[in-house]
Amino acid sequence: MSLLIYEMKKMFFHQKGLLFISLFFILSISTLLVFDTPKNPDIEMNSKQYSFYINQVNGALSDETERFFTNESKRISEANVELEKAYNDYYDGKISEDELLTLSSPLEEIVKNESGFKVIFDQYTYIRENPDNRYFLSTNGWDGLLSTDSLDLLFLLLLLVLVTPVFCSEFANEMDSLHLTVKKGTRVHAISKVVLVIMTVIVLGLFTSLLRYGFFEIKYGLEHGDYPIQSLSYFGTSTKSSTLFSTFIWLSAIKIFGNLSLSMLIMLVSVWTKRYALTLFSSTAVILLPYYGFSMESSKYSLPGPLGFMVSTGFFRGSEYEYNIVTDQMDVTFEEISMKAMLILFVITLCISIGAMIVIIIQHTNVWSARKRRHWLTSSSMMLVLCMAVSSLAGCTSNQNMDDYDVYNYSSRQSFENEQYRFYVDETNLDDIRLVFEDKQTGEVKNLIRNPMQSLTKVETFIYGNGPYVYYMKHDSEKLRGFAYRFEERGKVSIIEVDTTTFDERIIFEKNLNSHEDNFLGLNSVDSVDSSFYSGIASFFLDEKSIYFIAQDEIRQVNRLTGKSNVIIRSPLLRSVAFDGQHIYYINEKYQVVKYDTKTDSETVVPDIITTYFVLTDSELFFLNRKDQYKIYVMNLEDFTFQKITDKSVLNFTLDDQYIFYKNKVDLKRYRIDRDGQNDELVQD
Amino acid sequence: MVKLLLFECRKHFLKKSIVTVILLFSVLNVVKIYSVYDQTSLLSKSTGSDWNDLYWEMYEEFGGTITKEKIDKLMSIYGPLDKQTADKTASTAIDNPNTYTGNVYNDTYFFRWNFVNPMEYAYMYRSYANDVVTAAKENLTFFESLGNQYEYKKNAAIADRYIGRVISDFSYTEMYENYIHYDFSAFLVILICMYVLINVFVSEKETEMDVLLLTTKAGGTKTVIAKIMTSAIFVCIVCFWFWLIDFAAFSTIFGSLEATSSPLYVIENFANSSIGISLGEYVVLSDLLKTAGILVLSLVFLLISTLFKNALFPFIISLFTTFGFIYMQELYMGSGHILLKILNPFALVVNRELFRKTEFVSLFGYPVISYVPAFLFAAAWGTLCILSIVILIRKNTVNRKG
Repeated sequence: MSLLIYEMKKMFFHQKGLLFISLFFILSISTLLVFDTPKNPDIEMNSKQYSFYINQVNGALSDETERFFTNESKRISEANVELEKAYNDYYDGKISEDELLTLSSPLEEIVKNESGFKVIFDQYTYIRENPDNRYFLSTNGWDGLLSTDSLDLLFLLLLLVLVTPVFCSEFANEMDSLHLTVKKGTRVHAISKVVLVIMTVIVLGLFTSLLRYGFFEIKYGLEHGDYPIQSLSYFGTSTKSSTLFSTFIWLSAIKIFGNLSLSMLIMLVSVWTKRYALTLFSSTAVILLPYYGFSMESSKYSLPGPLGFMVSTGFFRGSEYEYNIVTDQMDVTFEEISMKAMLILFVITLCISIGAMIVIIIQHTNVWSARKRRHWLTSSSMMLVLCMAVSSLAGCTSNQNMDDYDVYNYSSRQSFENEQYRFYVDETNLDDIRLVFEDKQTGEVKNLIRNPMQSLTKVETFIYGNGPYVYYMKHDSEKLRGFAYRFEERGKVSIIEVDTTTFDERIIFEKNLNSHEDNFLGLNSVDSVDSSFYSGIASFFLDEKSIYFIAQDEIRQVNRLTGKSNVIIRSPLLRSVAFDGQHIYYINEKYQVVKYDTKTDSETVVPDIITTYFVLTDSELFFLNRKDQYKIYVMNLEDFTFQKITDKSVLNFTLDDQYIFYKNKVDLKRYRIDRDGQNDELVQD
Repeated sequence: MVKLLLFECRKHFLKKSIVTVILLFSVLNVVKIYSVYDQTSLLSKSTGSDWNDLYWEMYEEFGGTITKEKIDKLMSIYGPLDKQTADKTASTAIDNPNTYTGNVYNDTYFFRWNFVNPMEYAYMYRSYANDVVTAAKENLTFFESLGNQYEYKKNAAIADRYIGRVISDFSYTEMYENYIHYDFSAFLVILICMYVLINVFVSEKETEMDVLLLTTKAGGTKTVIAKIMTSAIFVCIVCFWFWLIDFAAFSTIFGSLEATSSPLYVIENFANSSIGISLGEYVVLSDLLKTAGILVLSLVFLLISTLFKNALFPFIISLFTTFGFIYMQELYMGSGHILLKILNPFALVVNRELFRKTEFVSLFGYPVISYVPAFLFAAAWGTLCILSIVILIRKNTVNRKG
């Protein structure tokens, strides 16, 4: 026992094992904190609404749940229609405020959680395919914990740094020959070292699993561990029957076994070669080459040896297929590892490990080779180099200051005007829709995008402008090679800032959309879930910290620095949105104008306005008054006074510095009126 | 000095274990290249198609200079096929005698992917390049009127690079396309270099021979320089060996060296390439740059190893650093943040990223095409490493003497 304690002291204190273990845990926690993103971000972004539904349907899909989904979907769509009708009736004066309240409150209650219903309905369509073993649960926690097949590179490095010196340091110190002269210096000594390594790896493995469990429990919650593993789409086609929690236990155990067999391998090579470099190199190569070399994911699990066990999740995955358009059949992309194959692999790897242990013990009794004493470098220089390496992982982004904001309106998302130019979308040639600008002085029209090389680039047809800066959004794509990827394109979406004084371009935001095979090792994983969101964007605006993307029924705030996104506004009618640099104005489901403060994340309803369409200027809000037959009104934002502009019902309108141009609802003709309501005249097109 | 180099070479590199590793990795490399062919080539059997023979038969007819006759003939075959399959109502029979492959859909995909799409791209490239030149020339007047000299010079350079670009031949590019995107050999080379180079300085420290070396005539700086030089020679030899295997294996397994004289932009992802050299020339250029990139990485490994007295930490830190470089390279792959992309010496290893687009970096207000500063930055990294090694080793020897 005392021998073991001495070995422990050597490993943890003399060889600074504790320092590296602490460093490993610090780095692991930071990696989790910084890089972990939810597998299904919609759940997190709609967490309140989602939890309302998940709490009702948790568990297996029953007839009752199925009925619930049919009814709820019907209920929500009906409630939306009825709600719209109720408000319309109220604004048309057909019902009183009290009647509206009685009518709308239960309906509002129904549609309150609609966005959560959409998320859970997607889950329902997945579960419906195989209701026997697919249960409803909030998946992000378990997905984060289990649905990954990446190798823990930090743990690999920790094992190398802890296990390699166990024997190598003796050879380096020439202590091995000395050991042979003492009573317990031979086999007992070797066994105590092996036992120490086994104990350390088990404890570290347990702590790592616990750390991950704790992290995902706190961040997303890990409820319903007794549900089948197939509830997660990653394991959807698996034929193994196991619950989520028992899978976690199994995976942790398999991982520990994998790490143990790697440790045995490291010790075997170190005893055999007695050299640090060769030991480190061969142990690394045995793990990294198959990990990065195999093209098919399941191949690494069919090899005997530590790698498959260290990654481990693949043992629980089911076969996956991909449609081959040429043969009209399904090609295997992941082949399930059967229980029998897994057992065989386990036995082979176990035998290799036990064999390694025996060789270590035998070798240890006969070792007489000697090396010179080595010194460990001070930990400070080690820390310095590691810190340098870590800092090389950090990215940089520049900041930008903007003091005055030009007001953004959704209705004019395709145009912007500053002192010198008018920017707009030229749609005269539908095959070549371009962003152009007109010089206000000369009247010349030129392309806004000055980059001559436009192949593989698609520019979106909306812009945002602020002072001399104009922003546009573009998709860059790259054709993927090879048979399997012939139809996919790797994409990147960027927001470009054009300084219109010099027409210099600057990238202010970039986002990779789909993962691809073109990376060197594929260390960067890409959230493919985001790609559908970024392809459905209707417009955007920004401030110095964030970019706000308007999609069909939500506004997402995306941090310019970190790229983290967050749904800040949800409304079924996002067709009138305005932004003044701090406040976002939009119309809610009650046709009220809501003012959202981006600094404080708070909302206030602009009083007394009921509208379906509005345009914001620096100090006023022009709107179609729903309560007065869609006539144009203006509200002063400082004193909240109203003024009627037109006496006619209006379909829609736009305005410039002087005039309001509107389309009459009755004769559908275009009129022009001064902003103060004077000189109403028909515009001859 | 030559003798010193030879001694260093014999001491560190002519070892059985190293030769074995190189040979083993070479075999692995060939296997990996075969798997690339097997999984990505349109002509490989595992995709389910049996197009290889038919392709080369058709290639006889349509390959070479693109002429109107060839286009007409191809379209006379493809046009009806496309029509038949457009509404997905054509027969799915697999023994249709009036088809090339036995099935109408299969025929359509065969001609579309192998001939029509690539030939259309090649044929249209001339007009695309013309458009780029016209747009760039328009920009010249535009930016001149704005007084934006940087953009003016940039567009002048673009016009200059794109003028006269044309793809006159239709050729089989799949081999080069895959060769250019192949990285696994570089990873193998990096692992070998890491293993071999961390011993170069450490081995003498382990045996305390470094102290003894100081008493000799050629000790100190001379030995350090000899070590760095032999390491560089070793890295170059290993690199060239692997690049040679790559090229030989790719051309043998894909069974073709066609397109060697075609311009680089014949590959669609290189449509906006900054250089107009032929694919054959690009292979040489790319190999040289890859070697340079790995040389810089090797110098980083050497520098790290000089800080330690055994191989444990140098190996772990080198591995960590390599992953750091790779992570950063992947993070900025395809990105418009050019400076962040080219600051990384690893950009030279995955150099297709440098040549895929025509990108410029402002150097004192002058637009410089991105691969030039990328190379300069890598050279600066390398020089910095060499200087640090020389300084650090000297310091140590002085300390020892004291």
